Amino acid sequence: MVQALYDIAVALLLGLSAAGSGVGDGLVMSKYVEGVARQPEARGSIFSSALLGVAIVEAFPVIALAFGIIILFTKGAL
Amino acid sequence: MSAFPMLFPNSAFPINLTTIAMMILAGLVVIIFLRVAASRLSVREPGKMQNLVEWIIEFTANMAKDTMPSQRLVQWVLPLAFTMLLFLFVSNWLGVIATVSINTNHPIPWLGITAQKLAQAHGEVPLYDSPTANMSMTLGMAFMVWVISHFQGLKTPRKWLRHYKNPMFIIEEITNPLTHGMRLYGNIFAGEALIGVILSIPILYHVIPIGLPLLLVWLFYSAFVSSIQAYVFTILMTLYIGHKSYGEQTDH
Repeated sequence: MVQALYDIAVALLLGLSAAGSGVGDGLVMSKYVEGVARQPEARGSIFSSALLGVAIVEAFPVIALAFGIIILFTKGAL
Repeated sequence: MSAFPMLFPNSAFPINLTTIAMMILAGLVVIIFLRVAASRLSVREPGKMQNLVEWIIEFTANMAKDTMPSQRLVQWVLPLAFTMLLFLFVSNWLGVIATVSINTNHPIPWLGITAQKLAQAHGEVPLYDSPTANMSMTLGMAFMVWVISHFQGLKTPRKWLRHYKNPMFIIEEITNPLTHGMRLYGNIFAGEALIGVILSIPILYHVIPIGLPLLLVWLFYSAFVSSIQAYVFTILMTLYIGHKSYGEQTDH
C-alpha cells in the first residue's frame, strides 16, 4: 500500500513536470524560430539566448527527476 | 541513496570526504591545465592549447559584457567567472567520464557508514563521483554568489535599500540562490542516478545488452547537460552580481 503511494507520487511528479516543461520548451523554441525567420543574420546570438532559456526551463523537470529518484529509492526515509 | 564516507558523522557539521576529495581533484586538474597552457605562451606562434584558453577567456568576457553594467565590472568579475566556468566544467565532466564505488558489507561507524545506511544503499560506497552531484556543494556555491552580489549591492546602501520597495525582490532573495544551486545539483545528480539505473538493466541471455543504446543516448545527453549547466551557472552568477551593482553607470 505505502510502496504504491510512493510510486504514484513519483509518477505524478515526473509526469506533471514533464508536461509543464514541454509547454515551456515549445514556447522558447517557437519564439527562436520566429526570431530567426525575421532576422536570419542574428541567428548566433538568438541561439545562445534560446539555449539558455531551454536550459533554465529544462532544469525543473530534471530537479523533479532527481527528487523522484531519491523518493523512489529511499522510500521517504530521507 | 549511497553511503558516503563522512568525517564527524554524528555532529552538526558532517564532512563528506568523497565530495571534498573530488573538489580538490577538479581544482588540481584546472590548475595543471592552466599552468601547462601558461608555460607555453607565445605571441608569434600560439599553440593549440593557448588558442583554446584564449577562446575560453573571450567567451567568458563576452558573457560578462552582456550581463554586467560597466567595463570596469566586467574586468572585476572576469577572473571569478572564468575560474567558475572551468571548475564547474571539469567537475561536471568527472562524473560523466566515470563513477567508482566499492561494495562492502562491513560498517565503519567512525566514517559514518552505519549498517542501516549500507543496507539502504545496497552496500555501495562511492569513491569517485562528481562533486556537483552533492546538494551541499552546489547550494554552498550559490550562497557564495548571493553573498558576493550583496557585497556588491551594499557599496551603495541607499540604492540597495530602495529597491526592496517592491516585495517581489524579497521573495527573489530566497528563490534565486535556491534554484541557482538546485538546478546544477538536480541536473548532475539525475544524470548519474539514471546512469546507475540503466546499468542495472539485466543482460538478455547473458549476451545481448538491452540497455546499451539507452546508456549511449543518456551519456550523450548527460555530457551535453554537463557543459550547458556549467555555462548556465556562470551566466546566472554574472547576472545576479550585475543586477545588484547599482553604483555603476551603464556604458552600452
